[in-house]
Amino acid sequence: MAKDAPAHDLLLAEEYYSAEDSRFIPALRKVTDSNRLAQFADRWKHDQRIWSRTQKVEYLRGEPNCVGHQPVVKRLFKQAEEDSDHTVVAACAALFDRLVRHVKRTRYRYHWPSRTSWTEDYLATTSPKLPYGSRPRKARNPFTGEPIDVPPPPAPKDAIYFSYRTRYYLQRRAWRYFRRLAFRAPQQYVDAAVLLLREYRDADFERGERILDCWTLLQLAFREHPALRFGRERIRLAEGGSLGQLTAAPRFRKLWQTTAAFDQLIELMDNAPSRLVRVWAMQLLAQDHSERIASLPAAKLLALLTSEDEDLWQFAARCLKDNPHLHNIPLEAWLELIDQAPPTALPAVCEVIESNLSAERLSLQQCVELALREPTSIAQLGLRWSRSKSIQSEDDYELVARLADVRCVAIAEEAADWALGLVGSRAEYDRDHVSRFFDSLSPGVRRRTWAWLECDECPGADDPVLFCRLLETPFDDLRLRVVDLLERRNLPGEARPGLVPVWTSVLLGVHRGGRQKLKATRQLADELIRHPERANDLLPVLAAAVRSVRQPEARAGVAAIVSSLTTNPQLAGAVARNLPELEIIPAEAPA
Amino acid sequence: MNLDVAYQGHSGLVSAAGGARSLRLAANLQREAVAFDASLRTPLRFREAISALHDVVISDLRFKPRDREAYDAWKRAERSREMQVQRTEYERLKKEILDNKPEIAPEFEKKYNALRRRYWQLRSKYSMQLMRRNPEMWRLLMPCDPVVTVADDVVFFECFSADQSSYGCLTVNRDDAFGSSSSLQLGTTNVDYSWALYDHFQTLRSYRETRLKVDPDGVAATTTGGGEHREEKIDLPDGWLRGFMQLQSAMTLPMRRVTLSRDAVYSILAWLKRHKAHKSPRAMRFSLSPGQAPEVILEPWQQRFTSYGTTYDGSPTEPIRIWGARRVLSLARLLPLMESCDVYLLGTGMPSFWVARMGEMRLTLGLSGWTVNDWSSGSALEALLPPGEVGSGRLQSATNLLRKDRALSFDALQAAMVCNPGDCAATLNQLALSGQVIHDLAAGVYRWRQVMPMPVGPAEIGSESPELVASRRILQQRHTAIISRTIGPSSLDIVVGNADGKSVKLVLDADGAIKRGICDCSHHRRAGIRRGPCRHLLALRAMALGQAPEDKSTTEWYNRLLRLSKN
Repeated sequence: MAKDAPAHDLLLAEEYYSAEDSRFIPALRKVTDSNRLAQFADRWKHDQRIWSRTQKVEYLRGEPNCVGHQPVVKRLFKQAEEDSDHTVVAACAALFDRLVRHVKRTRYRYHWPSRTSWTEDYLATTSPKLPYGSRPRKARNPFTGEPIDVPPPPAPKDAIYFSYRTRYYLQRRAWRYFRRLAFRAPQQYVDAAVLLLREYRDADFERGERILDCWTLLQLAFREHPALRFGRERIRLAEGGSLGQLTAAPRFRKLWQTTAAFDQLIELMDNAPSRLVRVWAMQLLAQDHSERIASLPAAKLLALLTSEDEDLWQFAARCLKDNPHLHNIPLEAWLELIDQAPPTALPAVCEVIESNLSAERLSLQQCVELALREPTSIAQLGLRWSRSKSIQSEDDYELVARLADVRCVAIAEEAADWALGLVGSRAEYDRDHVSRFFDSLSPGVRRRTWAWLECDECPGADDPVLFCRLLETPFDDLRLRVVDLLERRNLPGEARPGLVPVWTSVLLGVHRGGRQKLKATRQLADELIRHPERANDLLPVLAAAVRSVRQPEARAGVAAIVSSLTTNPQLAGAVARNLPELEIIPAEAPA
Repeated sequence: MNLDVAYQGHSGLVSAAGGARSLRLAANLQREAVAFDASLRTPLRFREAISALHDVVISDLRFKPRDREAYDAWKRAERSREMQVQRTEYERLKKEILDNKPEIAPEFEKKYNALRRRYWQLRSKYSMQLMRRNPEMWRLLMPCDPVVTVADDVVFFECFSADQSSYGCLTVNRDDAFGSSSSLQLGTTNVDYSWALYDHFQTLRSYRETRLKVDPDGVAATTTGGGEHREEKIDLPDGWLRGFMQLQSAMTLPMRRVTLSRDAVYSILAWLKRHKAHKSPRAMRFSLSPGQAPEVILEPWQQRFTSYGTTYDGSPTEPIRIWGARRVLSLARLLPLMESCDVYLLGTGMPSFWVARMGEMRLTLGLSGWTVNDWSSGSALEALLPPGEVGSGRLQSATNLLRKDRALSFDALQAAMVCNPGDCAATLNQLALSGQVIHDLAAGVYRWRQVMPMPVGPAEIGSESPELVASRRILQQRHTAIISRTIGPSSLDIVVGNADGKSVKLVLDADGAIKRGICDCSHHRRAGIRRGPCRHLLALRAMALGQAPEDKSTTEWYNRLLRLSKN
């Protein structure tokens, strides 16, 4: 025990205790004098104030790393047993389970007779020392005068929180309390057990093997499971058993099958801090309360669907499949569900919605808005519902054109195909609607819109206004496609002046378009030959190609200039102005 | 430093009745009210120019080590598993594999490479998407919202990249690019910026009227459904503000101007896009001869680019080398609009400024001396700063004049201040360093612009490295001497000398960066150059690279810079 702790620490804690100050527990945990703590615990354990009881639970939930606090724990536990205080006993039982800690280690084994070796895993106990003593002391070697570190004195026995023998005993004794309660007052057993189960945290099971350390938990929740072998002090896995096989198999199963237990299990499933306990509660509900689950109100199950806990919404989704009350849920509740569900639950939520909600109950606008959402499952649902609608009025077509703004990559192409089939059909063609698809931020939508433009029956193929708008695009993929298109066909006459910026952008693009640059150079040369009066616009662009560091571009540029000059010799002046370093040597006449 | 910003709603494109659209920029409510509302006359050109500014703000070319945490954890787990498996299964598996060695299909490698490429493409796409959607990650990408200034003749947008090495300023002439402004309030403010706003810029078209609106009025925005009131405390990264301010102060110094043609810039960018320098030297070298076309040489390929159609009309100079050339790729989107590009050079290893001229607009791309703008290499710029402190009276006088007129040329300001050019230049340099003045290189005027809501002082900028300060003191006291200098293999420069009584050895690479060093001081003995070079190494390096300041007065300093930049 650390005798150098200041004596006034306990006085301070006692002062806080009497004044019901929230600083009581932190102050108490600093006290290390076990004799004085024992005296104080004798007073505290009899205190019946509600505040005092709350403090007991909070104290027991704390990290077990206080020197000299064993008498406090023991006294609180024994008094709680005597008073049948389930809450404090539950906190003690969970604390005792936390005290036993085994870690998986590997050892090397060798069998001399057969001269074979192998490694095997085993569980070793760990007992971290409590913080004790001070840092190494600085001193001087009396003989040499050199500065040296003097190690701290060894930690005394009470520098650990009970020996392992005591820990096992405390675990057994805590479970004995609950076991006897089941026989003596079975109507209280489930309530007390639920209090215990709510004491466990996910941090208590940070590694799988830690589950085997929780004697009270396993006795209560998995006592009948064949994968576990319960010994006198320890629980081990049965031959061939693994922790992955564990399913709910509680002791006193009959007590868990009552209506009151059903409510407690629902509560546990909803609010237990530990995932292990929540899953256990779900399994028990599925095993013993399937009829009651089927009659649960749909609103309750839908609320579970919005939970962040994956197990919980999966459980809710399973239960909802057979629920008869789902058809009465109002439309707004369904749409709200989509907004509130976590991203991982959305596929399940959408599946439930699709099987229970008819598309007829939604307007086209609502369907399109769902299709414009980003999560794939919602967008797919929205698109499926939109496709089932009849599109008739001008407003309907306007709504369909909004699909150009689709944000979900997975449905972008499908949505564009369907929407263009309507707003881009020969009967309903509207360039305002179609140009929205060319301007879409989604490359998939733009790709399908270009495919629509290239199809045989496309009503926009000769629309100069559509092409004028298309040529203003900031997207490289469309510009390159325009250059490719010009190799096969010409644009409507009114759109051609807009081509110069496209050619410029393609030729001066540094990120992509190696093949299209050569095509653009040829097209520029053709344009120059056709319209020599536009030399001032076209030649500066060709000059960039001629001076390019990339040889294919430079060659194509020179070829374009030469072919233009051959056809129109009057361009020589403009060429000299724009490319003064280019020397044109006339071909010698053949002899 | 913490910067408080508050916005009413988000910046974005707002559709109005009749199909007209308004590009509403939510202004910082914590700063002076700034208003501007005018139609865009050339929306397509504006779209391309502002999108290039976006490329500047998101550019981050710093070296990013791969995150190996998951891999290490996997490796540890795998090792333990393998040890178990190997002891029992090794012989059996070996025999089995040898007996049943499958024939690898000839297209296996090809298919594997294609699938791996696809995997990494999708993975980087996913990372990019996360970066765009997650506001916290976006803040890492863009530490501070851009600043917009509405002046009498121009509107300009400024930003500084996350890697603290690139500065972008898009200046738009109000008369040529905008219609008349219905509401006008001159000043500077931050505007809310996001990737969504960049997407909105892409929807600008000539067949739809679009207005640019800097919206100072939170109340009005609320009544029209502008959005919620948001406040954010931006914790600017260490060194970010220092890098920004250093670049601003460098902009005020006399510089050598080189005009490059659009074709030359295109060729440089096309080359940089397709080639990556794997070894030093990685500099971009300007070879300038009076009356000749400027030439740019890219190292290490020694690829030469001649700027036909332009001539260098300055004084003869030795080749000027600048580093971090890949940052110029931010200009790629401007090439179709560009008429020419003026490059302002301070000297080798110094910041450079690329001004792309685009008719009614110009974009200034400021590049620090190195992509990694760390303090040890930043010392090069320190050598160009004016000697001594500027008097508070002179600072106040310049502040009052610039506040009143908002933009003044150097001569006009000097005449009004009644001082010699050196003092005037030193004052402007100090004001730029505190974020209050910007030098408009193309227009040749100094504009009043407070980049932060308050003048930035040493407390906000952060203290300099003590080793750097000490190295400067050693240089000033002339306690540095080079004993020998040898050019070793791979162009390594081995310098032996004394600094402040310490015997120092130094190995510089072809880019002038310290590769190795030996010094007797305690700083170096503790951690070598891992924690940055010591003051003695820094002083000797500055001496070896000719960066030692020798000016005694501001006039001497100004004349030295004028001689360097004589055009």
